[in-house]
Amino acid sequence: MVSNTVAFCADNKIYNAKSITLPNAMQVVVVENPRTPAVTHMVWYRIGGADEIQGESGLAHYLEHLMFKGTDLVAPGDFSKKVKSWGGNDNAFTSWDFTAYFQTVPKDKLESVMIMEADRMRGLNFADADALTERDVVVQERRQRTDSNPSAQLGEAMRAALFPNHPYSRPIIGWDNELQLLNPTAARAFYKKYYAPKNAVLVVSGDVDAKDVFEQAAIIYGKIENEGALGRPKWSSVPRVYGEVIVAHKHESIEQPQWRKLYRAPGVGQDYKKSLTLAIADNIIGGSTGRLYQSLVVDKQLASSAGLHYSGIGVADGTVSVGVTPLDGITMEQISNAVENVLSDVAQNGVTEDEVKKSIAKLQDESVYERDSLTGPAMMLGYQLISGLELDKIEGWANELEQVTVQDVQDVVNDYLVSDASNYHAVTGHLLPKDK
Amino acid sequence: MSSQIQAQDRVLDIAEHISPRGIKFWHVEDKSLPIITMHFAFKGAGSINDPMGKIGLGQLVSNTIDEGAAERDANAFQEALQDHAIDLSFGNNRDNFTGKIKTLKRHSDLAFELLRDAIHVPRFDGEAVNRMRQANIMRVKSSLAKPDWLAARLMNDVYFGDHPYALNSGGTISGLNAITADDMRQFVTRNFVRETLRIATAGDMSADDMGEVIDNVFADLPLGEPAPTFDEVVPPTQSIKKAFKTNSPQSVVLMTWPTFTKDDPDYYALRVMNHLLGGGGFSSYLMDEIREKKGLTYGIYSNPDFMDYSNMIMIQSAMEPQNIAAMTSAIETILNDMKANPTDESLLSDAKNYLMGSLPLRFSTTLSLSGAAIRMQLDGRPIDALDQWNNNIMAVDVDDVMRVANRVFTSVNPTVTIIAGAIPDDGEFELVEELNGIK
Repeated sequence: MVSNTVAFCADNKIYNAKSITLPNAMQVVVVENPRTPAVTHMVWYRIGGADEIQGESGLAHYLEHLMFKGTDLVAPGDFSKKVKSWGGNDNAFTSWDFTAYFQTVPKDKLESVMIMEADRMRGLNFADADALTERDVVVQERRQRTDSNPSAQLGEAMRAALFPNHPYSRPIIGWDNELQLLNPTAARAFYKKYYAPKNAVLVVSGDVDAKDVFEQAAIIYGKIENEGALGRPKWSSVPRVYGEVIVAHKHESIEQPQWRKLYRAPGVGQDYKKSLTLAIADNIIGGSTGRLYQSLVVDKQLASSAGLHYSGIGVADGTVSVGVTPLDGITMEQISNAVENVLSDVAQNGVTEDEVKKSIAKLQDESVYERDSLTGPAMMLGYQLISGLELDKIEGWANELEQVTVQDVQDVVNDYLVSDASNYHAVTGHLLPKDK
Repeated sequence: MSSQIQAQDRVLDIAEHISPRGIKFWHVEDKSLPIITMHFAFKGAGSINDPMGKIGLGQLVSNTIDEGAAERDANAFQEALQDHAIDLSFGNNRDNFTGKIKTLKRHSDLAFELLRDAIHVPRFDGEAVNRMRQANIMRVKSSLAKPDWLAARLMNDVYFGDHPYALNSGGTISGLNAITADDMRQFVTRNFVRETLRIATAGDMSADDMGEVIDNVFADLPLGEPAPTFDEVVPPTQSIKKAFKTNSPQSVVLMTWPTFTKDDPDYYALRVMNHLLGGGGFSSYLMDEIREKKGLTYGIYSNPDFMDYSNMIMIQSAMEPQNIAAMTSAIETILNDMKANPTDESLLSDAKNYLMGSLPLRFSTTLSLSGAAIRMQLDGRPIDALDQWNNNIMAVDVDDVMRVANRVFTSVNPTVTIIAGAIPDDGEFELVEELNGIK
């Protein structure tokens, strides 16, 4: 194992990104990667599903769709068509914390996509009729992704129970009853209020010179004004909730039961050190050779799969999710107890020095893969910057892992992941066949 | 368009090499990151060979072969991979048994030792075989809640008819239950041979060093025989419409037509025609008409699918059942128009520019380099096929697109239409009570 820790240089940065902030407060970040004559251009807005007001769930995502419905310069639907005609691909996605738009194009088209993306930052001008047709599309998106998918339905219900009184409880696509009522006027208002350079981060990754990109961005994005735009509204925090919540979803398409549990846990924006610790706990407990799989699948033969995953990149709380596929004849209660046993064992007896060292080495090794992509770095950098991490923290993530101790791992499990923990907030989910 | 299409420039610097012990491989050396990748395949060793009664054999081998080899039991083997961030996986499709590995350069000795062990001395310990068997059975059962999986299963069953392609390449529950460790050992002995081996590598290693690695991993395999051959698929001669009902609010819709092979002179015209029809996202006719104008669906796409014994083109979408008729008639209008009228020159030019300009975008990861090189070998393409791509696309004109639309869509009615999920009440579809290829 010695070789594992030697090769990772102490001053190693994951992306080697360069950053400036324009006078209008828009941040511009560049990752130079000359491997392919192409570039990924991404604009991230610090505005997402969590910023909607009560009754308008799904609005941020609906607006993301409407961003393709035209400006004074670009006709409805033409944005993607132009990008395609240049040999590029484009798309957009919405989460609770952000809405992001990206194009991957041959490098000589970078300026062209910058001009179009800057144009729709303040210049969106869609027709009501197009917006109403697009609402039908978004309803169909919900039908496809959630309403036809029992597993997604359970996930939606568990999240709603895990984050009471917090905007993370809302589905990004929107609750069905509210989605049907979204309208062009509400979308325009949301857009005017929040889409502005001070709420935006530009990330460019590819065969570019950072200095050139900064100059282009200063000319193209730098001239946009923030006039009238507001920052992200303050979110409520999650209250202490009493009682053990179990969501049991019985669905007639289900033949194979599934057991799940979702825990609230600190996000990177809330507690950087704990997020590092949870990443290591994830590796020791989850994963194909992790303690959970070894216990439930290999040793006790209760399940055919068992995993634990920490998702911590976010402005507010992250989650730890556990998923288990029980073998025939094994009850949900047996699974629940077996999972709790694995976590209690860590909480009481800790993990080994060797487990922590190996996890750090592995995560450091994997961080080298982060650069092995054009779009990947733009995705990861944008996502983490939106979460509130400074660039040096993002770059130094793999080095910082070395600060995590055996005691830290035991503490974080003891504090968040066992049912008598001081910060235990969890929801259990059962995906079950319908009684026949 | 851009500089990389100049005649003397190559899209990818793929070169053919022969290892010291005589194994041919294609290599893309790229020192930009300390990463090495390898794709390999045993051509013709796919699930098409699964014995009746043991459907799922190839699948189960692909899942179990990295669960212990030589001195390492399953846990030790998986730990060696995990602890060194080595991504090793095996796959099994209808035609081929495949594998790929990604490793940091500094762990490459261990990575290729593990690969060598997995291929030569897999353990297939009882515990690991049963664990993987259970995981596969649970995967099959979990799939029953997924309308797109159900639709694809029914499409394969109906379209391929009595050809072995109709069988469930992921395994049936009874088939998976019947497979023994000896079956798996025989599979390895029969199929892991140099005659059918194809290798593509990429990343931070010279071709000479890679040749040594390849010899170490593969050269001791027996020479073996070419894989058995099968008849071509004969698609149904009359249009078939079948449905599998679930309580979803939407139906997944799949429509399939047979087409010509990837070696046909019209292959590139077909790629262009497909891009215009439904391969080009928002710039395609299907997306524009059925999502953008009518709001009937979140997505609708077309894709050609070329296999060793079947070639087809498929349109897929999902929508509420009362809108299927409107979609079907919109598709008919689009296809009739493509058959009867020349494509607008500027749309054709946009489509060709995309297909040419997007080529380098496909090669931004190390795995994508070796992935492209293995695909070309399996498809029987020459080593400069990517370099010829732009010329071939450039040459396609409006007449070619129209001719191909007429060749493929001899009837605008699909040969097979499958829906899974909600069923329209117009009686258009024959209801299937129970799917084949599950139990």
